[in-house]
Amino acid sequence: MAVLIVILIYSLAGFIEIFPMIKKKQKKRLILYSIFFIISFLISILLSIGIEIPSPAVFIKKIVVLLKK
Amino acid sequence: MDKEVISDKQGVSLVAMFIIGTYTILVSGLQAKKDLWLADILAIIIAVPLLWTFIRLHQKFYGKNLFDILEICFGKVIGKFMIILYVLFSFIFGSLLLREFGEFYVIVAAPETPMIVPMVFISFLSIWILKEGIEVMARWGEFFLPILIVLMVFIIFLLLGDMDIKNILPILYDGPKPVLQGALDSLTHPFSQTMVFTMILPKLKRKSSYRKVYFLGLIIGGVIVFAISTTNILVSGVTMVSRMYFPTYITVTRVNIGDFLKSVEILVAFIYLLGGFIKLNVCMLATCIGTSKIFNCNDYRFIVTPILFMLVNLSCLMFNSSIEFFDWIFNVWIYVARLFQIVLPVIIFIVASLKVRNTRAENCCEE
Repeated sequence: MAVLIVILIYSLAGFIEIFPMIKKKQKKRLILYSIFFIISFLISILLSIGIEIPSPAVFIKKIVVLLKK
Repeated sequence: MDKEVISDKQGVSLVAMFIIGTYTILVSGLQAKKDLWLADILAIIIAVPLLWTFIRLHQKFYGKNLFDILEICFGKVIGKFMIILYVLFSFIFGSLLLREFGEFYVIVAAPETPMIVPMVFISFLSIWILKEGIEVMARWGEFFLPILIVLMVFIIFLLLGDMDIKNILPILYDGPKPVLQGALDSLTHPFSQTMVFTMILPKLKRKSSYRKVYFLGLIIGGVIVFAISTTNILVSGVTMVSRMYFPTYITVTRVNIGDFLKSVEILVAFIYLLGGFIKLNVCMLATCIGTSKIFNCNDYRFIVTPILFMLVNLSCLMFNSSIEFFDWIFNVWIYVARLFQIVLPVIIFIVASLKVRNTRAENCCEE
């Protein structure tokens, strides 16, 4: 159920934003936009399914604790 | 990209609302215990030279933001690396703000709602205002700052009857050391967070505008912050304030004027909404401008939507519980923030001063 909402929102945002870029033929912006879009889409789908993704908070905490010593 | 211009007054209101922003929710500097008011005053005094370095950076490189300065001072490779670091810093900072907003909404207003719901709504509004640009944001801030100040003064006025001066006495009972530690904490959050403004401020009208924007914003924000923290301590006492998640909110629930004026805490939630929204937008603007700078594009507006989607993702996956979130902010993020907000800008300022002096010396020798 949540997956459907995620796919709906992302495809809406994608349609609204990508078509003007294709019309104006802005290649660099299109590639950049698509990379970020796809990464964020994958993470959203994984989150809505329920797969646990390692969080950077733990990583940063380890670095800070290490440097504090 | 069109030239974006904001006036002095709009800049001042941005900085002031930024400082007040999350202070209505998280009170900082609690290590000073009863002397939190002294720590706040000390933090404002120490923030003045720090803000002066930001102002001088703006004035030396007139019209350029921090990312341009980093590339000029440190060269292409190290400069790009530092830009990436600062983009990640403001991105994680933004995700902390968004998460804080979600936590507040879920803990206080609607416990059954999954946290992603308020986060998604706020981020859609954020996408809209970022696409309009900093002018709209500044005008929004200029409009709402007087409302915010009036509401805050009204709430403090209502709390005057519940204040107990014994909660502050005796002054300096634990000695000056906790006050200094509290001042450092209070400096980190919220005063030196204005460092994010070095990444976003466009070319202001005059070189002296930067001084007005930063200092006047610091004074207005600082006075309100001082008022909020002192009111919290006076009304609730130190033990209650250190135990609560949202001290100001709980303190304001005590208002009870003749059994008639009771649920005033919704005003605190409203103030937090205004200030927190500005804070989130400023941080995400910095992230978007930095990202477009890394990839050498001159417009940041096209990258707003995916970055804000990623922000919602990061806010959801970073912490598993509220306890982990608050513990992380107070024990880990404080040190990271000190590095990026206090230490690194001072280093950048020193390098920039040496660089400007070297180029001036070269010009003199050539003549």
